Amino acid sequence: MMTEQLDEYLQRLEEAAKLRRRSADWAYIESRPEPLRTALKLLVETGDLWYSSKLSGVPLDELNEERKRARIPLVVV
Amino acid sequence: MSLAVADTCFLINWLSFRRWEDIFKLFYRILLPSIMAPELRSQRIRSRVEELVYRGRLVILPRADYVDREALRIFNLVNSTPGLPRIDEPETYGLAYAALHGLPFLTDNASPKVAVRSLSSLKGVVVYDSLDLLVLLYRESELRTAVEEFMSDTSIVFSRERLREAGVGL
Repeated sequence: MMTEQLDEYLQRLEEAAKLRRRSADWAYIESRPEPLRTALKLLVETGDLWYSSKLSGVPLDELNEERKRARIPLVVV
Repeated sequence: MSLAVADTCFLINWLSFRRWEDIFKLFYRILLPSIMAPELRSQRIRSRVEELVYRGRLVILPRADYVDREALRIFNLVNSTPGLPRIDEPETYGLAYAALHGLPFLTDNASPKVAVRSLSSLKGVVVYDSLDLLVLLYRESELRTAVEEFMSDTSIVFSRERLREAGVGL
């Protein structure tokens, strides 16, 4: 991949992070108990469901359901 | 195409799509690496996975040393290449299996797609995300409808650029 294409991908990933931050229901996230709250915040920042699940200890599919309730979109770039 | 290797996150979300069974118009059987299977804990998803296993449409791949070696090579290569998005361990295993067997890898994460386009040793490996599959499955207005349904059912959003590239105007 050319450097310009890689740069474009990285830019898309940054746009995705902004969209997650904008779309997230922060009141819902703050209302969740730990470690779920941290897992959701991690997901907003990274967009990486597996990573957020692994680091927080919240099961992957439980975190996936919670991220829908917290209105955190997974963005395909 | 008859077989494809799937990532857990991809599978969890695709199985929430109202037209999830359409994936079998593209692939006869989906392969899920066994290291990913423990990630599936919700009863709803597990039931669907068990049904697919029973019907012979999903196979849990046993862990193998030769795949582990390739996965470790890819894991180190991707994660040590500046600028490339980080890749996870299970995802790397799935990508390695797909690469070694000439099968497509299904994932909605950017990292494998960027890696196969960036690294010469992964050249030729096919990585599809959900939008790629929707484009392969549907045409024109049905594609647009399917994309809207998919995003509504899964809370997955396709970037404007990807939608434009796919010719889907929402």
